[in-house]
Amino acid sequence: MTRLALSLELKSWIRDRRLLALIGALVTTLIVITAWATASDIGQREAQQAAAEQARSQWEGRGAANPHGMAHFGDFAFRPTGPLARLDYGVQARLGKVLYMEGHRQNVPLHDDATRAGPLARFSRLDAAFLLQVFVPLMLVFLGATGLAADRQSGRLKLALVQGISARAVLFGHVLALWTLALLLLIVVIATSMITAATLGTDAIPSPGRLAAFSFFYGLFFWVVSGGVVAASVWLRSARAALLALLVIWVAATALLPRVSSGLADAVHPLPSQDAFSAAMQASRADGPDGHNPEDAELDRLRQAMLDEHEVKNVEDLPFNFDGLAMQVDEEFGNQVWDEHFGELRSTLYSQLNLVGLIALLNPFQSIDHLSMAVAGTDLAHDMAFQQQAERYRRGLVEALNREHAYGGSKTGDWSWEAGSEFFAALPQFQYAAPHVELSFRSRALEILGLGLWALLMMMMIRHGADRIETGTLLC
Amino acid sequence: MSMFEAKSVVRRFGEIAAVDNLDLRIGPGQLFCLLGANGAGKTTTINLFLGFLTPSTGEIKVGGIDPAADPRAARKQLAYIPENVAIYPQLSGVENVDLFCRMGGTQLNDEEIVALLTRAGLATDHAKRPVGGYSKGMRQKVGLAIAYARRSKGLLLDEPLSGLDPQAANEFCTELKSICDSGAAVLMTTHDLFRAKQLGGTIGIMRAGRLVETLRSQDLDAHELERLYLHHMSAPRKDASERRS
Repeated sequence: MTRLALSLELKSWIRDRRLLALIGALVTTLIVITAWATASDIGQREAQQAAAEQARSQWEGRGAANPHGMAHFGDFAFRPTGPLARLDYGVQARLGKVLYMEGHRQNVPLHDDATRAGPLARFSRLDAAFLLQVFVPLMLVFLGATGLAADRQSGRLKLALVQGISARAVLFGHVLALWTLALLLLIVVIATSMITAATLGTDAIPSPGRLAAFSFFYGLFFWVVSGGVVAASVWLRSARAALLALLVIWVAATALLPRVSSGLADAVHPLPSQDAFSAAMQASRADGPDGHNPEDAELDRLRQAMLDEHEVKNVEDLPFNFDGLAMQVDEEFGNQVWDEHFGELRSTLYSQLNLVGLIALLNPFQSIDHLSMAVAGTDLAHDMAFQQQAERYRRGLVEALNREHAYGGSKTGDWSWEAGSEFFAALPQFQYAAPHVELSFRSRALEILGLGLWALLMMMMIRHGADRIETGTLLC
Repeated sequence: MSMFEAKSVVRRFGEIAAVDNLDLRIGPGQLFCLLGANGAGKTTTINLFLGFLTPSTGEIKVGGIDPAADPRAARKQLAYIPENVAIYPQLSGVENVDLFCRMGGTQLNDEEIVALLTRAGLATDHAKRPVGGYSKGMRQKVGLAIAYARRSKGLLLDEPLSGLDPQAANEFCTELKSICDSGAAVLMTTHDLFRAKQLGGTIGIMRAGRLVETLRSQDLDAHELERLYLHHMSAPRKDASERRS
């Protein structure tokens, strides 16, 4: 019977030319925007790839050089994203894409879209996720709020119930019809992105785990929205009241609540400004050894210990280059400082994310926004993972350079000593490994729980509403 | 056993008793026409039998089943035609009949459906056009066809003649008589005294929720029925406190 109600609803839509035109316009918009966003993302990634190759060739093309000089020359880490990032750009617009990695200091990623866009940064980038999270629900509201209410107000529902169909079948038929349409739009979006990527000759298929999670979460979200629309039109009785209530909820859920929750998270767990963070780092760093300062007290103690250990009087007589060792000591202290400050920053960020996730329990629109970004690999947690991987790589690189400086054959004070180009070429290039999709589930457990609870709540409201319709309470 | 039975039924909306102490029994093969002005409680009575309203006090049975307790079981025995048959405007008459039949678990082929629509008085060339272009009377005929297809033991008709042309109304009355003769119980509300008399069953006059008169149609002619109806309609209204039981 539910299938009958579903096929009736779909048939009614197909035969309604105005509705069909509206759906056609939305599908066209989705296809155009998805194709454009995909092509634009691919263009950006290609430019990034070219820049990464150029940076590597510059690294390798330096020829023979002093290892510490190469630590200052530095290297670049480019933040790559997977195929799903073409559908959900996430917070990438506000995060830097390129991280400059060098000795002695940890930099922050640069070249974010928001800085380059200036005042236009207020308008976030248009991507398929925005349409799926904002416009598809709006379309479901317009389609669903009026359909069931019209059936009830006209007496069609009453006539149908007398024939023997259950109110549950009718209501779930409406929900399934809305849900089916939303899923078709999701499929259109994913297929468009894959076809565009394949046409442009790049990797088109996301990892199966991520694609399944992406589809599942959107499916769950659309179920919540479809159920909510039908539940509102059941409980609020008139089409007008249901439409008005749903539009108010839509505005609050998509525009108001996300801003309120991020403002609240910032007030409860304030983050330091970039300047304050850098100043605090510098202040902590000033308390430690400075590899470039020959009069540094701590390094002096280390130098004396080395002289004693090797039973020599001058550092030049040591069997290794003390400068390389000093640089590494300096580096390790810097790493500790960074771990401490960045750890605090990350802890505050996660506190913010947890609070926002808690608020998202009340708002499935926020839940899907967070989950979509997480699965697409474009949320803050993935950016953190990128920064941590880049930092691990930087530490390994600098340590290798310092070791070469110390033990490669030079003597202390000999800054003109150079390692061969083959040494630098042998150092591996930074490779970002996207975290397993499990990271997304772990970091967004509250949102998953929220969507699941909302889906159950909608089911219960519809079942309860159907029972009330069956006995006429919500029918007449 | 009566198909439709109401025992001392009262249905209140707030302090107003829309149906007040109604006693009614309609057995198989019997036709009961309920006359009354707008707001007399006729549609409330139909809704009580359909299980869309529950009695405040008293007892309602449809084929021995309490529709308030098990509305779906009670409705299974019924066909219903409302005053305004609301069907799906994007679908044709044939598709609408097919759809509503399938809702009741009945599968008919196109020929059977066209035959039902013809029996209801809808011209064959209209049957496959979208209902959105139908007049009220044509929609009413589709409603009749849906009711015919049910082959129910009980028919609840809420002003089914509304919007029908005289010829279609006459054909409907003839059809209704034959349905009744085949053993179905019929409860029909109407404003049409002439058709109520023509149908030849029992006539009840309802006023302010009360069944104030019950008579057999053969006991009086149309003029006497009209005079009696107008007498009851023009009698002084009881005030609200009297209507509360």
